[in-house]
Amino acid sequence: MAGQPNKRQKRQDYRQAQRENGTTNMPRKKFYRQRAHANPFSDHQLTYPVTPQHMDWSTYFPAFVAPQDEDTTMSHTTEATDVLSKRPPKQLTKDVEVVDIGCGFGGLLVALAPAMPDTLLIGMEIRTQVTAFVQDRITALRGQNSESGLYQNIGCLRANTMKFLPNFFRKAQLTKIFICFPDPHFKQRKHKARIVSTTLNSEYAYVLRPGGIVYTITDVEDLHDWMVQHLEAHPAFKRVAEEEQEADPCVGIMRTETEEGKKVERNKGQKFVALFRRLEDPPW
Amino acid sequence: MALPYQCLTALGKGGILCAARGTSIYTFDLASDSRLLSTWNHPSTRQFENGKAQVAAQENEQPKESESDQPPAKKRRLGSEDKSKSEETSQHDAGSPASGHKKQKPKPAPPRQEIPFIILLIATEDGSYVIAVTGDKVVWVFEHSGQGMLKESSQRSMPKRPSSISLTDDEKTILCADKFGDVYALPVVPPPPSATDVLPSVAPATAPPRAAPKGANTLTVHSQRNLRALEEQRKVREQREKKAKPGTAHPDASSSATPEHQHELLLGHVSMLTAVAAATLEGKPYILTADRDEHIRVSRGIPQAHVVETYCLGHEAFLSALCIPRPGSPHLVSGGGDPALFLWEWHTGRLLGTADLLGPVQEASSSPGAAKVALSRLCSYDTEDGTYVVAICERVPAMFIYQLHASPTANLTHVQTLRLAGNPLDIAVIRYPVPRLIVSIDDVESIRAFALDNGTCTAQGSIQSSVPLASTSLELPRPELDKLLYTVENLRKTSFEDRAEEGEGEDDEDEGEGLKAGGSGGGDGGEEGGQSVGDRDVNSAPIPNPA
Ligand SMILES: C[S@@+](CC[C@H](N)C(=O)[O-])C[C@H]1O[C@@H](n2cnc3c(N)ncnc32)[C@H](O)[C@@H]1O
Repeated sequence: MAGQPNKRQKRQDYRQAQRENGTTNMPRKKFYRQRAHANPFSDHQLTYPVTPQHMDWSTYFPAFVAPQDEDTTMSHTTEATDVLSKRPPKQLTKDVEVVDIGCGFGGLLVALAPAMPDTLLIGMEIRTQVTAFVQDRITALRGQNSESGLYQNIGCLRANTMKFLPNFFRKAQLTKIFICFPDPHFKQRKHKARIVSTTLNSEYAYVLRPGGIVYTITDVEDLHDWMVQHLEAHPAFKRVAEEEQEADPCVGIMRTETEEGKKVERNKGQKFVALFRRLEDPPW
Repeated sequence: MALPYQCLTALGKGGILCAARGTSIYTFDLASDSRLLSTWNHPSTRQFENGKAQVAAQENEQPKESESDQPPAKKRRLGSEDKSKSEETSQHDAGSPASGHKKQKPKPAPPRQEIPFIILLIATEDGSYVIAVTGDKVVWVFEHSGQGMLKESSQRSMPKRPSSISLTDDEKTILCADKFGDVYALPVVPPPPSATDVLPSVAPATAPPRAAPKGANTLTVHSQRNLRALEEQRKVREQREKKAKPGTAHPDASSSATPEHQHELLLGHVSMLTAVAAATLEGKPYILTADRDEHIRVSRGIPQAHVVETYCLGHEAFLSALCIPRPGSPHLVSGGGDPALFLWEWHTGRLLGTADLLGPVQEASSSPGAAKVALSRLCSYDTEDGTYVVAICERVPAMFIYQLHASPTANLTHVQTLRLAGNPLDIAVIRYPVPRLIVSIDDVESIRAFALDNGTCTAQGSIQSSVPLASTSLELPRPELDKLLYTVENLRKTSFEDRAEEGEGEDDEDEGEGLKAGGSGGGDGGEEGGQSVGDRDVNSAPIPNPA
């Protein structure tokens, strides 16, 4: 790996140029390649906010930054504590409500952006290069669509969602979570690495508001069965009936617009879809 | 030789102290003359002494090995020692980021055991049960007569190394948190075997639905489906095992050794759990869990432990200890690698304040300029004039006492530092016959007592520690002993570039084994998906060749 300085250099030069002047040029995938898998258990050099109140979304959604006005009586500053005494981040006019977990190259985000123009969507991806690609892609799309103002409502950040979801989102902040073509982790001993598990589902339930939906799609039937079993076994989730599922416009987009989904299409593979509604918690 | 007491706990109202040293548990009568009441030795102790000679011989052959960064456990397995060298070498390679992307996978290691030191020790409030966890991942429950006699009542082995245990407030259930991030519920008194459903045993992370074997919780509603899921899992595993050559230890085979006793998976983090605590508010139970990634999670208690109520977020380094200062309290004190202790209103996740710990640590440190804190234990006690929280830190010869003021605004204030003759390993409060703070100290006379009067602590001297050591004389070299006794600082994340991950291969289907953490900091070494411990990633260089 260290023996490829040229490739590394080329990639850096390209990316630099892309950042400086290519705001309307679509990024080229080949300069953003990365190994297919990252270990969700290891300590990556990740940055993540200490709490959701510390998250600065303004760089991801500059068009939605709230006017920097008057008194800063935002709810979180009332808790005068050491940790929060640092300057609070700029606020947005609305909260992020939709998350694409493991968004890959961003096809779903780009397709959903015009379909839900008033909703903020964030893609979360653990691979650095892939995240950078999506960010550059969004920048380019915004540049190309400056008239219409399209694509201002999507963003992408690097994160390990299996560990840090509650650092980014408050309880019940989200309305939709997409999990599209997740890595299957076939090996039994890697099952805890799967993005759906009974214990992790409690975290999805935490960030989703009652009535919110988890969308899943995969071409691996075993993984589909696994996700269905584990989400249905979780008391906070109930599978959405097929009729309602097929009537949801997001389902069509999810079937056709992700990069992985297109690959499956080319290979004439099957796609398995399942949606789950976040139920109210039982009384306690 | 100085083998210190690494765990302490009070036993009920009779003034009895329970203390663990190496692989043994002792009880002392603190109400009279601190006399030794009973001794329990881990059954493998004798076996170990046979093994010890072999280990020593091996080390002579290969003196460099002790410089490798493997936890001692890995080298000190009982039985099959001989094959270890080559395997450890390959593991180092796989774990070292410097070695980058390797196609060749480490050979599956033979099942290994470490010296089964007592690593966790708690007791019920009335002292009728003692629960101990040993380094071989076994949870032991002892019945206590009230006179210091411990009677072994059950022995259950866990799928992963427990990192913290606690009792629910009704004291019927053990909450057992592990290095893999999962929390299991175990009944203190296991049901008779006939009553236990026969369920296929599967590795826990893969079969959470097994959580509902007894029909006692909400998950049960889904038991039909769960059982089907389990059945699937079992089939897959069986096929796998058929493929594995008989006689060679296959990594999957080790997971199939999952115990069959009743242990219900309650909740899990994708992180190493470092502390678990039970709490009660307005009559409702809750479970608090802390992890190496700075999270404190507040979940409902059994049977709704799948509901996350909130998180207490604000720590910026690993957590290592949680302390609810008294039953029913809305307050929580937490700490770990941060320079301060944090005070929370746990059920809302609200941070009420912090209290500096680094300052007092620096004042008390033998070597000036300590820049970091590695909090090892918290405990609390009440006196007439208030609630106090005691903190000890790794390799800092002092106890730090904080007062918790609940009103008008809750805050935590450092009120006293008690210097010690050596580094503390554990602390406990004995309320009877008079309130005393007990501390075990590394390397010197092992256990000391401090009287607790009106909020000030005064030294009372040491408790007899001349306990027969024959059965526990594990002659560990000091560095190895240190690795067993001082585990908290290892939780700290160190920065390193995981360059291997930026490998520029196309979307190959490699599973990124090269990224795996080197050691997982203890008994689980070599198992798949162990939580990484940063410094091991950095340090785990291949073993130098002694030739
Ligand atoms: C097979 S790809 C699918 C990408 C995209 N959803 C699609 O359908 O085209 C799975 C993605 O999940 C990402 N991923 C895996 N584990 C993750 C984690 N813990 N947090 C964030 N992203 C993760 C991987 O890096 C990878 O890009």
